[in-house]
Amino acid sequence: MTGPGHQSKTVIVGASLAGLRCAASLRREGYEGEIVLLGNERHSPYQRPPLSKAVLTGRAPIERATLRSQVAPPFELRLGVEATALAAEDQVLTLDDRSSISYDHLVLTCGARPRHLAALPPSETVLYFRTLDDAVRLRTRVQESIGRLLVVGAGFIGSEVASSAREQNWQVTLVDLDARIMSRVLGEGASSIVEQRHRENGVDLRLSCSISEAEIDRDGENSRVSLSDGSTLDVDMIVVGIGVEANTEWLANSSLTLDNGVIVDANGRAEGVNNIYAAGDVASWFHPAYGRHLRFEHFESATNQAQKVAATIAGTDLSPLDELPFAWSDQHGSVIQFLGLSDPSYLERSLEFSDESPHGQSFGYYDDHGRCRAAVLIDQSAHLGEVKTTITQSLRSL
Amino acid sequence: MKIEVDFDRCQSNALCMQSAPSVFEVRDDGFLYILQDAPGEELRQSVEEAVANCPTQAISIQD
Ligand SMILES: Cc1cc2nc3c(=O)[nH]c(=O)nc-3n(C[C@H](O)[C@H](O)[C@H](O)COP(=O)(O)OP(=O)(O)OC[C@H]3O[C@@H](n4cnc5c(N)ncnc54)[C@H](O)[C@@H]3O)c2cc1C
Ligand code: SF4
Repeated sequence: MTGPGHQSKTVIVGASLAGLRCAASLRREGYEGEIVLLGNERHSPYQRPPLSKAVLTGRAPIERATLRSQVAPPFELRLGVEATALAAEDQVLTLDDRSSISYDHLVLTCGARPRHLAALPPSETVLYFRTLDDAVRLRTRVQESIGRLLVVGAGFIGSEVASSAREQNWQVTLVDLDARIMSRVLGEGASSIVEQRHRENGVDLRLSCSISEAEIDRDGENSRVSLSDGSTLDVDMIVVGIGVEANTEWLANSSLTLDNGVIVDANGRAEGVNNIYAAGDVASWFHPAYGRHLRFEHFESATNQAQKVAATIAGTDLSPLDELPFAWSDQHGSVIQFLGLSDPSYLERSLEFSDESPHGQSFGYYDDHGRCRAAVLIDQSAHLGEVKTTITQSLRSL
Repeated sequence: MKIEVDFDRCQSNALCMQSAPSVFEVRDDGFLYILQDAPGEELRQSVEEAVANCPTQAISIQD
């Protein structure tokens, strides 16, 4: 397709963090071709972390979530349009307005969406929290009156929503199937601190607990939920945060390899197809240090992967991405940071730092060779750098 | 010393402001403002502390 006079064209599907970041990075890497960024949401690209935090509590205006990166022309941002099919052999995408668009490079940054519980279909009362519209809806509800919120799932989103709703004096019950909070990434010591933060701040935390029956009043107000611990709750609103799944259904008939996301190599290139890349929550990215494909669902990896794809397309950096997984969460005024890839088999040890850090506590997670493979820092962000160095070194020695 | 903030990484949690209030300010509009992007050397230590404290690694010192 690239002949003399032909200007290269990169189409990016998904106008959120990874998509915009990729577009902006392409220019930074010196790519001069046309960039088309298309997304099915109607808002200008925004970031999600503030949605469950400052936007929900009202501490920040909704505009705070808008991303600020600018992309130099030739650049087209097409909002409210969805890609519905991919013909990789023809290098063409079909869109939901029945039009089509051709590309030289295609970047998939179409992210992920909340997993649903069959017993709780989405309604006025049941919210699967992901988008700016969801945040505006919940924020309006939480601020107009005080009510009773049930949060299902004590992961990142559930815990943050619980914390933000408590800040608005809502009565909050947080249920999770696990016996410990975030047991997949936290050991017992860290779990108990996070659990304690919830309880100290008035969250009614119910662990090893699930929903056995739900009578949902679709217009709100009088919903009643029975829990597996035998209790019954009357609630005004239910937020569910039980994980996400990659938005790959529309790619089912393409030649791409899909397995918990779009399978890509350590530079973001899709397996066995030329000129198709993926980054962010939709990408199952080959991680050299761990020797396998991993799909991260965090801000940092979406940013790093999008930048890596841009460098791959521009041809400016073909080294594999070797990032240390990183995520953070804000709950009840605490900043919790997660580094590395944890595993329940690792031994948890409290981390001591040379200087006296009066607040907070941190834990390292050690494999059976005594190597620190992951860590969680609770209100000790000043030590992030040194912990990162330690884990990076132990990954190099794998 | 030249400071750069990646605003799309910044989460406005104001931890940098605690380290270097004469350089960083998170205002009521929820945005971070850089009060001086080339502060003097006497501020290096507090700016370095802000860089280390930023939970999303949004701040960098260019020289
Ligand atoms: C409430 C909330 C709080 C969070 N807080 C944190 C945090 O504190 N720290 C952290 O590290 N991470 C956090 N995350 C995770 C982080 O936001 C995600 O990792 C990040 O948004 C991933 O970006 P992305 O661009 O890959 O995907 P997404 O943000 O999911 O964007 C994908 C976009 O593509 C669109 N799209 C999908 N299919 C199509 C199609 N066929 N055609 C066109 N458009 C399509 C989607 O509608 C969406 O706009 C949070 C997430 C949420 C929801
Ligand atoms: S510490 Fe980092 S994220 Fe927080 S306001 Fe400062 S620059 Fe932004």
